[in-house]
Amino acid sequence: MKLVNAVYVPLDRSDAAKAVIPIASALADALGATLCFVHAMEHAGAADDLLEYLQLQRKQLHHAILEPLEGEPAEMISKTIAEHPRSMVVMPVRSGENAGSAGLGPVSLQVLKNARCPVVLVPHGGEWENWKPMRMLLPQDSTAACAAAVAPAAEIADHSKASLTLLHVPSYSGKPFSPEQGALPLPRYQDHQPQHALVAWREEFIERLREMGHVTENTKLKLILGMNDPADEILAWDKKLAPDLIVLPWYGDFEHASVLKKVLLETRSPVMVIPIAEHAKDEKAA
Amino acid sequence: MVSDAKHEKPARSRLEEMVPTHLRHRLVHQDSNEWTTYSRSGEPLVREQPHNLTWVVTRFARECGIDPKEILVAYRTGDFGGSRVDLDIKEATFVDDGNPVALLGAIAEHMEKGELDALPEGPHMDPAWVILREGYDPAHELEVESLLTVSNGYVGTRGTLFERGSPLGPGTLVAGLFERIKEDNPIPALVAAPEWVRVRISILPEESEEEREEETASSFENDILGGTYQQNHRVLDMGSAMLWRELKHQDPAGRVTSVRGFRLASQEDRHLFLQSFTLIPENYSGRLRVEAEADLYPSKHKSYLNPYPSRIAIVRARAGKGEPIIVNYSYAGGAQISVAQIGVLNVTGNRLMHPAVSRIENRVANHWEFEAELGKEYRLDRFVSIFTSRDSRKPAKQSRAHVTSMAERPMETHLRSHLDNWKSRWSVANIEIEGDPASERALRFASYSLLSAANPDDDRVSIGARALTGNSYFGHVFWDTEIFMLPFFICVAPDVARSLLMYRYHTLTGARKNARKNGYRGAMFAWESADTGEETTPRHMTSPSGEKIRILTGDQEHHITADVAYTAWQYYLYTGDRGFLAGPGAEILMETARFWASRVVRKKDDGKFHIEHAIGPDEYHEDIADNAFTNEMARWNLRQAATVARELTRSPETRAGVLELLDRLRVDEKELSSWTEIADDIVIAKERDGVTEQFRGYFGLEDQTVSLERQPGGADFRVFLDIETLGRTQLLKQADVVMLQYLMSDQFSMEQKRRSFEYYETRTLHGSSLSPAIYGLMAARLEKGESAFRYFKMAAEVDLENNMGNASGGLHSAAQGGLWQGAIMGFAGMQASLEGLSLSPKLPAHWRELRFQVHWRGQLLLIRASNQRLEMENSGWEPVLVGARGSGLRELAPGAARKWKPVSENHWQEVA
Repeated sequence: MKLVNAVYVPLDRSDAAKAVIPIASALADALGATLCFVHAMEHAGAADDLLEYLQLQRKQLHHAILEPLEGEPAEMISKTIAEHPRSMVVMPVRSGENAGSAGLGPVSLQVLKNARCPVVLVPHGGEWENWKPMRMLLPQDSTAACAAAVAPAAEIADHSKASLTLLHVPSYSGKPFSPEQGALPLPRYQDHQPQHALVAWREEFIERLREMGHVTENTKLKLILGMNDPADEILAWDKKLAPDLIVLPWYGDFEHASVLKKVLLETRSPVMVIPIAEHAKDEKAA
Repeated sequence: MVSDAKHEKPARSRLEEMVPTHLRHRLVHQDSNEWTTYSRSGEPLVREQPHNLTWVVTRFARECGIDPKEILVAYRTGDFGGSRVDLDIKEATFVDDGNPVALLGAIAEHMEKGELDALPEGPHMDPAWVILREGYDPAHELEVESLLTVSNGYVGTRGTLFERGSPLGPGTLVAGLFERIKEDNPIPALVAAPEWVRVRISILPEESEEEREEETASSFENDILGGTYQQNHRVLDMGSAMLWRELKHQDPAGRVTSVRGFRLASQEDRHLFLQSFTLIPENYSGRLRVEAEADLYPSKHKSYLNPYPSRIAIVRARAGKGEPIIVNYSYAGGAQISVAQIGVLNVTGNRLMHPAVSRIENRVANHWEFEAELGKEYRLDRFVSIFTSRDSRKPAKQSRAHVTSMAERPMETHLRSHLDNWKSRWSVANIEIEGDPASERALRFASYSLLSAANPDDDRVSIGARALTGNSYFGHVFWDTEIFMLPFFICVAPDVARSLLMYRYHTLTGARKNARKNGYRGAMFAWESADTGEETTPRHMTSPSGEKIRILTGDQEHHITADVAYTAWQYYLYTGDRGFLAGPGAEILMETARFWASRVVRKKDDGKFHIEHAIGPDEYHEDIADNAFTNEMARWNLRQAATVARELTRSPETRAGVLELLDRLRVDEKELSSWTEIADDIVIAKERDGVTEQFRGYFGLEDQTVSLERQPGGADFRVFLDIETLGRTQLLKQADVVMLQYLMSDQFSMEQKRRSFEYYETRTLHGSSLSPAIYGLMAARLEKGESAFRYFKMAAEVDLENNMGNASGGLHSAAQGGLWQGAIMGFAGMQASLEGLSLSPKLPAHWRELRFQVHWRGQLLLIRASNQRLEMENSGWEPVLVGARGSGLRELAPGAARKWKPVSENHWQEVA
């Protein structure tokens, strides 16, 4: 069963919006999904020839569907993807100059807040023409829910023969264990020596993620331990590795999403934000 | 006594041929003054001479756990010198028969028939005897696999789902077979065997014969992994050591299939593994395909924790009756493992269907395709034999011969032998607690884990930190075995205890090398030991940031050397096995004492001997000096070696042998005296307000305490990367002084123990699974009932609830041993001395009675303890001295019982 059936790209007349098309196209190709360009207008028929209106070239429309939506853009995009749960959105962090929280434009911010599917946010000003998802950075916080969320990225990696670098970032502060059932926090220097505990933990962490995130054995996995603040670690490894994509599972509370906000604000890499399923969040909260 | 050097194979006698291989270990055969006994796999072992019949019965039969009433002596008039003078065995039955061979043959036949009695069709119904886990959850699967391992001490197979395999690669580990991992830290690691438990069940699509022929074997879509489960659980039946799987599966077309079956590692024949499933199509008739696989390697990616075989070969894979599939793993270092399997499908009307063979992707399988009828039962039986290069130079050949021979007999025969064996073990090991079924189950699980980890038939292997339940710790052997597991075996299965100590004896050569390499004399047991006894602790590890971190435990955690010696003595203390003490035991004691004599350093300023640059049980503090635990254990080791040497040379029975040993080791009276002098002059730990200082300077460290509610905690790994910070505090990883005051109980007053316990309790993070049980044990002895039970529960949950979060890499065998000690040495207050065995029950308030058995000086004692009453019964052959706290020791005659009741806080009185 396909995890993603459609990759939606909200378009307006800006260059920033159209700049993400190669990324969306590559992702749709990797996922075997349909590429859907959507343009939301307040009034239907405002543009007779949408292609011309959006200043799209025919080749950009290759194998894609172009669909006009009537209504306020953020609301209509959110509504469309909500109606198609096996979807993904690819959009710029912002398409205009108007940057709000975490550098997000108003539409991107609203779509992200409402989305229950992966949203790929592409930073402004990058060169994406020949973009391929070959190296991905996956921050992980020990929880089973976070591991399970990476399945769409795993499918992309499998198709693209990409390498995945897992970055373990600490998620607990002073608590001996993460409250989520099935979490796999860092070893606590148990039983004899760390040369055993850490090695065993690293092996287990990778294999559990492989199982839970459906990462095939064809995909290479590497694990890095982040020792400091999660956002700082992600940004530091972003600089070192220059990944094609950061895959960031997210618990959905934007107001308190300090890691997500900081990463979106400072990274130069596209970020796939994957909302963690509601039931998994409930378990974590419990 | 069986001599390793004298294992020979005499010509097969008529009698030997008449008794089936799997029953032959019950046979003792005398022919022309030569006694022959048989191993569990039926191999003849020539026994030392001379021995009379009384010896056979009183010594050998007891070793084997044979009830004297079950002994039958068949003889011809005139045998045994024409007299029965030495046959002082009242309980045995004597048959004077002209043809004893024929008589025994008839009896063997009768025994074989008995094997076919009714056998279990499902797991035990009593929840206190089973561990049940529902469904499949990838987040927890690895710890469930550890928990549900079946093992016989030779091979352990994790509780992987038969249809899925393990997410962490190989699930079958072989004891004693190591291969060096070629990473930047080359160390020997336990190797894995080809997986033998995978079975695929598919309902084939309805199609024409032609279409079916075109279908490739890998394209079936209705594999059991698809669809849904209406019922799906795994049950480990501890009583029978069988892992049951029960499931009801519904495929997308609504067809329901029930599957119930088991797997086991035979305790009777350790090379044999069995798997059996019954399938029932519940609401359909259709064509089924069953594949019983031998995975060539379950994973394409290589696991760091398991060495990868350099060569994987299908030695044989042919279709037909009695044709095994044989897969062989060869490792670069020379280790080989062969797994041979034969499968039989029992279709309706007891018709046997023999398999075809398929080779698909990375596996080779027996497969069957058949028309299954609604409501009918179809049973798959698999016989699996595993042999390694430790058993034979040609393990594939041996596994083939073995599996062929095993498959000639019905599954029930092997199952009965396995069950009988476990029944015999449980007849001693079982513990009953009135009033606390959860604790009873936890103790049963501890006993199950330990018994299934051990192989008394192979004294060149020991039990690793995670036994054969997972690949963490690479199968390395630590002090866990001696200090935490051995007490259980000494009391419950002395044959296993002896075997485990013999592993240390056999690795003395490696231990001597360790000592020499480090500039010491004698034998220095490895902190981490594998097959040779040489140190295998990694010298460094790579930190997450790529930095090399030096690992000091291999260089400094030397207390293990005294721990081994201490346990060798404990074995003698409980068993009275003089042969062991005068031989291997004495050699261990002498060589370890010699090590300590070279390890200590006399300081000019105080004239005392010190042990510098050490690590004690608390590994949060490295490179310390005069660790109280290490110093006192070393002192004991030195004194005890000298005492034992002198005592054994005084005894006429042992004098000659021990003089020979001392001569071989070049130990003279001067050296013995020097050991005593050194022992007397090793510095004694400082005491402050009655608290023993853990090591020199400990009290001067930054004082930090922890909340008891945070336990078990341990330090975050990141803290370890800055070990100096942790080492500057008084926080401990685990019981250290408290451990010492348990092992050397007589050296400390109750008040000293109480003060130390209270001080260290609030500074211990329990970052080791070994810690809670010892705190619980000492709390019980100090009458801190609530604390004692809290720690006991914490220890019980290490594996059953994965409360330390790392059970996925295997069970914590030492924690299981610690739990047993917590109940017996803690709550029941059992303590041994040269004079006798005494108890002092302090049970948790809700335990109405604790019932258990222990071997004491060769006699089996049944003990019933409560806070109001203590009863001991001797079901052995000879009288022993026993007592309750404060009442003095009394002789307990065979078949007799004595009872006590408490009369004051520290005093019990005998009652009629």
